[in-house]
Amino acid sequence: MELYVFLSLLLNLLLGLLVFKRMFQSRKLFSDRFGMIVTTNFSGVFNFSIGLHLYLVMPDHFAIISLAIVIGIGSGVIIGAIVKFHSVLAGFFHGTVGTLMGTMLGVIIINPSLCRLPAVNEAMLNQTIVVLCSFITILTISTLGLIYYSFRV
Amino acid sequence: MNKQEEMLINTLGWILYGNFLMTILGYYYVFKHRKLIGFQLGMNISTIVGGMGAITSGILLIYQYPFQFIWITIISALIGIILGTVFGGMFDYQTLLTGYGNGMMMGLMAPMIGASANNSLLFIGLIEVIFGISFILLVLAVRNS
Repeated sequence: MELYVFLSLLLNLLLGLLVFKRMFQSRKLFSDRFGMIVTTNFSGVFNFSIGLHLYLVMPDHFAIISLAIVIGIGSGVIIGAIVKFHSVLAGFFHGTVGTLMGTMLGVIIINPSLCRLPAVNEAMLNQTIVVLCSFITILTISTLGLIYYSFRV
Repeated sequence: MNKQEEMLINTLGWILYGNFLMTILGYYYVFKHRKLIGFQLGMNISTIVGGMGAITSGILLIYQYPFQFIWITIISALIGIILGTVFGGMFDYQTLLTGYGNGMMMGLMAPMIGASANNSLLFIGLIEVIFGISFILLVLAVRNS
């Protein structure tokens, strides 16, 4: 189960690097509005997935949340700095919010009684983690696929 | 479980059905006037309809089935994605992307809000009033544009 979550994290990082490279190649073609929308979507969804997987890999260390927030801010600012300066602001804000939401979903999966949900045992917890990691990975693949398709139009 | 909660759980499905009817009516109204709407208003329409539809359906579904958190999260995220894509797809590819992202974020968050405010009638009333106000604002904005 740990190995599955770790491999899923590596897959997400690889997809993000691929979309960043493709966007950096065709950076002269963008208008302001298109750059801002791509920055918003990419930093929100990618950092949601990174925050969730980083918390699920090491759920005992609470310092991992700070590391995830730093990664979110850094990737949002880097992806926004390709186009213009107001997309840097959008990338900063949506990266922070996406990382916080992802870690919150991970905390609630590990300990469901924070939200007054019924508690689960060990076997159901593993099944829950695998189902939710697969769903978030499918969402990331489809979103980054839509963004990747929109570069060639 | 006292009598008031039992009555609340019996009416939740009808409230969800009413919300979907209202969304379909809003879709016909926007589709009829889609030539008059610029991309700025189209982006805001896809954002508000996707987000509010996802939040309302997520909270109603987690009140009705409180033991299946994971599947309710997945279903409400899919509802947000479909609503944002359908409302944004009337105008442009970029409004489609905006509606997609915002509906997905709101849909992933909605069952947590519903699960931490457990079974209160006041909260459902507040969410329904906000949903109605958002549709009234949408109709006013389309008419005055």
